[in-house]
Amino acid sequence: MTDKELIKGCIREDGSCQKALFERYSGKMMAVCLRYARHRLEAEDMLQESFVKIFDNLERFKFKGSFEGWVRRIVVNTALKFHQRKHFTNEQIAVEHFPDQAQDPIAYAALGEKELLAMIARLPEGYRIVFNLYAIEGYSHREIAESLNIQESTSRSQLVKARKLLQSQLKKLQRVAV
Amino acid sequence: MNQQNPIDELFRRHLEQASAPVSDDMWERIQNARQPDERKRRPFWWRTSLGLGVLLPFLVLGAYWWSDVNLPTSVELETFPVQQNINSTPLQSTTPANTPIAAAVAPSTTTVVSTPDATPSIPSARNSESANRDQLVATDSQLALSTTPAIKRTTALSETITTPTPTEEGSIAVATDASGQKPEIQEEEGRISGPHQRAKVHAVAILPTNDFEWRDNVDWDQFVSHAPKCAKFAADFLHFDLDVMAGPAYAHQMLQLRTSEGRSHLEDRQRSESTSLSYNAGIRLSAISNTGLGLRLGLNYNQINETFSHKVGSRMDVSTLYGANGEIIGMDTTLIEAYMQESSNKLRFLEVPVLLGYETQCGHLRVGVNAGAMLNLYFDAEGSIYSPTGDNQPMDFGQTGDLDVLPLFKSQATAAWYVGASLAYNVKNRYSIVAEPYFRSFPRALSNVDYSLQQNYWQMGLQMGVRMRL
Repeated sequence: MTDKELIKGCIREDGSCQKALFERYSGKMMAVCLRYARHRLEAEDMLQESFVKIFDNLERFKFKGSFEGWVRRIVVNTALKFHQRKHFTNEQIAVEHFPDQAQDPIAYAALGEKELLAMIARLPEGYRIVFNLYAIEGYSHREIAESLNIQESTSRSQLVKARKLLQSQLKKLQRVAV
Repeated sequence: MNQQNPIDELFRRHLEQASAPVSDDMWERIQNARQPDERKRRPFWWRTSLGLGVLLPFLVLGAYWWSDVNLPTSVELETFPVQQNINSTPLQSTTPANTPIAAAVAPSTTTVVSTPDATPSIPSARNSESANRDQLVATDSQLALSTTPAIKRTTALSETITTPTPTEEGSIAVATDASGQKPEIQEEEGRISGPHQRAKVHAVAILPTNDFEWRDNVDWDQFVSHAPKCAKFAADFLHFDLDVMAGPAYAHQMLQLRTSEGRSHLEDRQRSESTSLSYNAGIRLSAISNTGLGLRLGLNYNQINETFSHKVGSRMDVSTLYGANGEIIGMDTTLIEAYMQESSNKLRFLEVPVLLGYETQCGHLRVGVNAGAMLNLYFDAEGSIYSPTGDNQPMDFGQTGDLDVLPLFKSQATAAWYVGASLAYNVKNRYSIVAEPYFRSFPRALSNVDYSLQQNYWQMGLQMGVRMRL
């Protein structure tokens, strides 16, 4: 069954179509939620709320562009709302002692999704959100600033700090592997 | 796409299309979460309907009472027959079959009252049923039936009521005792009979007529109220007031830390927000007993206003310079590095006041106290505060479920406690001017539980308006 048929079935409140749509996208979207959440329970709450929004707003999808992109956008926006609700204090972390030089990504080719997700989860919340939005979702700093109601310069600095922290974690992994 | 940095690329390549296992009960959780929640779908309609449902019985009661006491006096007089203690012989059978029966409980001898200008039409024959019943009444020496032509109101009540002879036609049969003594019902001479007597008479008239022994065992007096029956001459147990009031208020914001992490945010907020004039307006229907105790219900709108002052970036003001003859001689540019900008924060409440009160009269002045709850029907919050992230940037706030704003407040406010002292001065007939200073507070915080601060309010204000006695 194509996405279009599933979507039309979901709009008719057809239970089997809804479940099929959920099964098709829930795994990918759970991975998105895990990148933004502090822990798995929060990721599950995000996923639940995201799919409720998706089913409630399916009639608004105009079949222009990728449906997966539309779903992902809703999941990311839901994750940002979670961030707004939960993250009312600014997490500060000293980054001056981290090395500046970038590492060759080829050196980390053996790393799996699980390890990378764990690294992202260890980032302070502000860094994690900005890094996810910029590096993986492809948002610009302007879009991030508007979404998070912060200044562009704040977005940039948080991204730099996030990269440094990730680099530090990657180096530790490398040392352990050697 | 931001692909320049190798760290970014590494994570994007691995995680962009990554998949993760989902817990088994997730689908059930989603289905449960999508169950229609009537309260969420129709919060305003539902709560407004509830409020109107509470008010409607009181409005109907008030309207009924108002229409009842405003009947013309002539109607009352014509409706209630007047008793006189006059001995007479039982009435002859003169009732036309098609006229309404105004039956009266009457022993063997009856008293007859007639109107001087009554010219009743007496049919020559009656139907057999009516005749039989009259015969039984006569035989039993307890009951008599007669027609009752309506008493026409004349210039004076004394002229309306005369003492007829036993043979007068078109008379009203009124009971006396078989021994010639007046029954208790007639002990108050000239008293206007009330509906209770007519009800009693009708009840008797439709009962089987062949057994009247039960009547001897009934204490008829217990059905007879000796209180004055004309509402116009008696003090009512309840009276109803309609208040329309509005006035200014002061709302005091209370911010408290939930966790120590929010201390700098708390300081930011305390520094940047100030109280503005709030106000309150509403309509209340009150039912006040003759003891002074009362219940007040209504609909109330309350708005809390605050001002948020925040620093914004540099600004350039350009002004034109004019010469002596009005010609433009240049431009003056002023650069302002940073300046303060103000915006309004608003919290709106639509409430149903449920108040108990006590009031007492001192001449034209009526003094009372009211206390109770203001049940929230609708709550709305909008405005801006400094961002909790500590970046000194303003951020719009809203309520739980609002999109793209900080969900600072709960979607529904709790009920507020209310206490007020009312002063009403009667200026003309049913109208009074009323003033009510009051204090109210919310027992629970209005802010969202996820927010690092606890935000609440108390208010004090003065409502003034008009009170109308219904």
